[in-house]
Amino acid sequence: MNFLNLEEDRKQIKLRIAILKTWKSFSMSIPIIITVLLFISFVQVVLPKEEYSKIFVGNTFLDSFVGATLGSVSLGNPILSYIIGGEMLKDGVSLIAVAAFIISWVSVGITQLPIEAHFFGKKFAIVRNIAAFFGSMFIGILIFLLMKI
Amino acid sequence: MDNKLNNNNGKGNGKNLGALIAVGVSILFYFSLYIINKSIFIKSVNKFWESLTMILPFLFFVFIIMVITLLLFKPDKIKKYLGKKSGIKGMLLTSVAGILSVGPAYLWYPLIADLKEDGMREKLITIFIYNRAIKLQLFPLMIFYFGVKFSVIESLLIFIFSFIIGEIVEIFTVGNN
Repeated sequence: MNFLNLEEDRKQIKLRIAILKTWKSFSMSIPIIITVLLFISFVQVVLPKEEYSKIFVGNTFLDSFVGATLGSVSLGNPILSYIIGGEMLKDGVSLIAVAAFIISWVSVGITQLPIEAHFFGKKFAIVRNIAAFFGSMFIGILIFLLMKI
Repeated sequence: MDNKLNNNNGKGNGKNLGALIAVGVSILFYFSLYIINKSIFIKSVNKFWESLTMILPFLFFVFIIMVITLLLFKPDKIKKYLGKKSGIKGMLLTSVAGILSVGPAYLWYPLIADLKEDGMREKLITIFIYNRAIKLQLFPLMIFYFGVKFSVIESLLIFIFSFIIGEIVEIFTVGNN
């Protein structure tokens, strides 16, 4: 009986630690999510949709390039990339650009390049990031084509 | 135990200072906006509230999945399965590990660097990192924003391209050495 109680306690402690660990990383992203939402809400009110179309010209290659560049220099939880990407779509930005943006957000890390180079070598970090950058652009174009089917 | 857990939470709050300052600056910005242009302020706050209430249920769902992932997949367990093989099996295992890995990428770098010393190929490291773009725990949120078709196609393409990009990286890094 005692053993069963111990086992039950161990499971409960494990669960509590898992919840706390998750909360720790999660709670760190909450203020960032709020900040980004506050920023986006303001930008959406102040900048009319025509302003977005000036950055994303509707050219397949250029749009995916701009989207991938924005994603590459951005930092933070991928949840933010979905929120921003979703808002971009609503504002008329092309699917190619948004897809390239959300993929490069996670797979390309310009700001994290020194850390990556430190662990895996400069050459690896540079080649991997360049390949991932063009990969996200290419996937963006492919998604756009496949969505039409 | 409770004290320990509370202490850990306290440390987390300390690290969160930068993000809290960002929120503080945003609130200050909104406060000045209220003084300068009340109309833009009201529209922005409404927009903010609309977006926030929309994502809240999804954030809760993501939290639950993150807890489950943490309980089921430990970093040392993943290391055990990825260190030895580098064939198709290794590639598939690495991609699955990449998909399942949670938290910032740099938290996993020391583990992968360890694996590299044990003989893990550059290709597998690339596959791992690239597949991190597939976020299973965020899938409901992705569907919410982009739809089922987009989310499925995007995830499949990332999975396929991770192998191509892995090959490219290996050719350029190992090939030149």
